[in-house]
Amino acid sequence: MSHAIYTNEGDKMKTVLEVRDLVKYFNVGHLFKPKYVHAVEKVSFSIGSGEVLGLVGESGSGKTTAARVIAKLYEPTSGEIKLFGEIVPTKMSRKRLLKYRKNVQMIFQDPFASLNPLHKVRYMISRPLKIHRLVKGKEIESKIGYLLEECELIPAKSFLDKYPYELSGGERQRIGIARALAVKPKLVLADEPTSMLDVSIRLDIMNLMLDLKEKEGLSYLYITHDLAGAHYMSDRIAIMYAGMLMELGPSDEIIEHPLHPYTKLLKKAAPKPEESLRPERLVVGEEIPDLVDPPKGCRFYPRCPYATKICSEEVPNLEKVSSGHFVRCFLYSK
Amino acid sequence: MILRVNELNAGYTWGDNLVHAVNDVSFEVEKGEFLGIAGESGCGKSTLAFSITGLLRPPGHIFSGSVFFMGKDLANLSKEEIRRLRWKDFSIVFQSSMNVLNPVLRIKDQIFDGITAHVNVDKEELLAHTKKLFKLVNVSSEFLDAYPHQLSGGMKQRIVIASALSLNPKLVIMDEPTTALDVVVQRIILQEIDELRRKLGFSIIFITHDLSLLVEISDTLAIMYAGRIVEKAPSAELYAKPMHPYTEGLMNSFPPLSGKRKRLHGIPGHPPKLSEEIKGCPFATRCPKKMPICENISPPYIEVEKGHFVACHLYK
Repeated sequence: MSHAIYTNEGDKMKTVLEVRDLVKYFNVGHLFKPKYVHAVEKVSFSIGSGEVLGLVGESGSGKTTAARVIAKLYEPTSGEIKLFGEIVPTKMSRKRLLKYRKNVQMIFQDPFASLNPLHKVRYMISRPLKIHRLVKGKEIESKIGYLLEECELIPAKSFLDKYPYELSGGERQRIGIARALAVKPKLVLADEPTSMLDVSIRLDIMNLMLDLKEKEGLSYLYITHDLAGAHYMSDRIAIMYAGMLMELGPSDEIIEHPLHPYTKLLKKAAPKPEESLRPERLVVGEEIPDLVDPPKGCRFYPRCPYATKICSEEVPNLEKVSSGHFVRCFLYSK
Repeated sequence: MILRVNELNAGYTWGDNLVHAVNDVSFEVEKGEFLGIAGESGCGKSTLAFSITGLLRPPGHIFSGSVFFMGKDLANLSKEEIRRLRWKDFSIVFQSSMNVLNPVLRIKDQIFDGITAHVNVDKEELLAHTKKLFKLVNVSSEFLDAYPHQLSGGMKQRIVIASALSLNPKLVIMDEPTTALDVVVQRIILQEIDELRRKLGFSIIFITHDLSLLVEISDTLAIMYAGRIVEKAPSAELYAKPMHPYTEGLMNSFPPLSGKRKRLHGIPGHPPKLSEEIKGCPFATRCPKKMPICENISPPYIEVEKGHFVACHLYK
């Protein structure tokens, strides 16, 4: 099966990132008796130029691990990452890594932990500019100012000499975004960038990210556990469960016509007062499988209301059901 | 009526500093009612929970006002008198309950602790009662002898809820009890809490920052902003017809799950600091419907329609 089918066929956009059969195991045993956490299992997807791919899953589903492997913070166990069609080697020289990171940047979940409390805003934004040698001498001040203003920290001058403790959560996350954008990346991996923020601030950050995407021609991998937020941000949504991609398709279709039983469950669990104020009752086992010893068949079968015998024996393939819509479930395999 | 909070003022003082975290808050809770209190972080909602339950520790103080719980004013009771009521007549489930359990004690012993502090029962009865509690919250009784690390987050949360219900309280105050849980587990626990309430008839004050959760599950909803309750109404009405501009802004801050994707706009700016004195309406700086009067005079909290309270100059 060619991996190319995981892209959205209708659009002839340029592919920025392509991930094929990405696997990441963590050894949690010891040297002579290894035990592996199967955090990411054969995940494949692609992100087009200017596209937002939402990666949705519960905690422990491997979505953050996947992003960290792509950001080269973890080494993949196996699998292939391609940036602009070029294979990204597992081991890279510092120079090569720098070049890769100039294109791929990350925004972290916790704005309270991801900024060094000892440094001023000026220093934090200047670091990527200096490390990547993007600006010289005096230009740096005006470049930092420009970046801050682009992230709606206005007037920029008043933020330059502040320490993180002087900033609110929303302001800190804007610093995190400005820092990621300093090197003019093509792809930004956003790991739950709004989950630690207050509700009235969340939407501002999401809107800022969408505006910057248009302005700077970015692509995002937008990681979240919030299906509604993913729908708001993304062109396509990928649903991850216990390390595997379960469903992938255009945003509207995933929300309006979810196919995989897990996606349906997520949709049912999400608050949606616009539909009914008395939500239907959920009946489901709640335990995510042990990833050290994952179930032999489909990883969702212990919780699945439609599980049959085959589900406990074999892992279904991620198969195409309609243009650009893929699902990993025996209910839809031919 | 089970609880009546009357013009409660509370906050924190040290040296010359004053943080006025709860500002003239008044509300009532009926028997069996599910009251949701929603607000952003720093709006004083946890301080409110601490003040009601007598758990506010220095530098936190109740400045004025009263908290009538079943005829007694909790704000004026001694520590010992409140201790006797707490857990027995009202109980509390805290944020990040997972960390509430002692990691080196067996689950059952921790539940026993709460019970034996209030009533004298023998071991057998204690065990039988705890088994019943476990059944109530859908945890298998084989976990009675387990230690907290052997349980999942959802199970720990259930144990804490079981413990809070162990003495059949009339009122349970829940401060963001499901925030640390996954979406699916969160929904299931909420569902169970609501079913228990209907079965056992206790009242709930449910505090959270997640308005969309509350709209679906609570009977009544109060919105807190900068230490004040700015609006309170039956949930369905508040959702259909929000009156306060802040509530309206909050409702528009959640992207809806279904429907076409379109741009929404949140609330610009950020909440005022509670350490500074606020003149006029605390929301005035962010309000799209601001009038000259808003900057100088704090709007009174009045009943505009039956059961619908709002503090805004737009409604008189």
